[in-house]
Amino acid sequence: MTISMLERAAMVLAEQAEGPPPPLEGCRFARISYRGPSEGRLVLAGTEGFVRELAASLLGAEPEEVNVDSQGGDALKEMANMVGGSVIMALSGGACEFSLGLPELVAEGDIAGIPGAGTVECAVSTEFGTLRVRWDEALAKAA
Amino acid sequence: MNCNVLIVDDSPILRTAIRKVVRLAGIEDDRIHEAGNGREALDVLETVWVDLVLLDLNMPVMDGEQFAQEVRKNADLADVAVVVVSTEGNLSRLQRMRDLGVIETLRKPFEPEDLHRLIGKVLGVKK
Repeated sequence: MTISMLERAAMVLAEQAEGPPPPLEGCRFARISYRGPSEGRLVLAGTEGFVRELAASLLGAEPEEVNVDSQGGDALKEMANMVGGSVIMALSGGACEFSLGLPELVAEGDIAGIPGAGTVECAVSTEFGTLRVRWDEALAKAA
Repeated sequence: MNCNVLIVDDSPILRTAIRKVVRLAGIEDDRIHEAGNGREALDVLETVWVDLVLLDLNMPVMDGEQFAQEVRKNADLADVAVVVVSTEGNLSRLQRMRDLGVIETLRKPFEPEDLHRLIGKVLGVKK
């Protein structure tokens, strides 16, 4: 889903990262929550290279021209928004009753998982960096 | 194309990306306007005639649904075409948007060609 999102939204080619997950040091973090029949949140962690690449692709600019704090952060938030939107559509199987919150940039200290939540993680690599996505699904109301 | 388009999205980078597609659809750059939320969009509509609004839904300050409600209340804005461009998948909310007069919905992520085609379709009908 993340790979398809990157290609469709930003024309960034990506593939599943192999080996152990890349370290979080130096990453930028974006988070988005959703509510509905169940609740959860997604955390995206992008290396600076990835964030530059994503923003540059959206802007039609070169990676070195990107302001990684403002434009890069904005791009990562928008990516969280799109991945979140796709997750809730997949969860709902078409008849979507979920609502997405607003994406936000957070610090590494704020990305701890939801206690007791089911967690799924993946990592994709692109030409200039890596993106890690963690999905915490919690508080299933229908249970 | 002599039409004015208003892009309403809280993400500056996405507004830039959408602006590029709108330009490719034949709209001159000085006819493309931007707003970061519904409140700012209403301010733009007070000063510029807009043919098409490309509207995100989840925004701070005033979201897309509140914006559409305000547009609907204003008879002067009855001819403004509003298209939702959003990650929104909630069927109830999308139905409410249709009830408020939204004519099309484009889900993010979209390919530039999808938006290009949609702009042509909506503005072609209005011409």
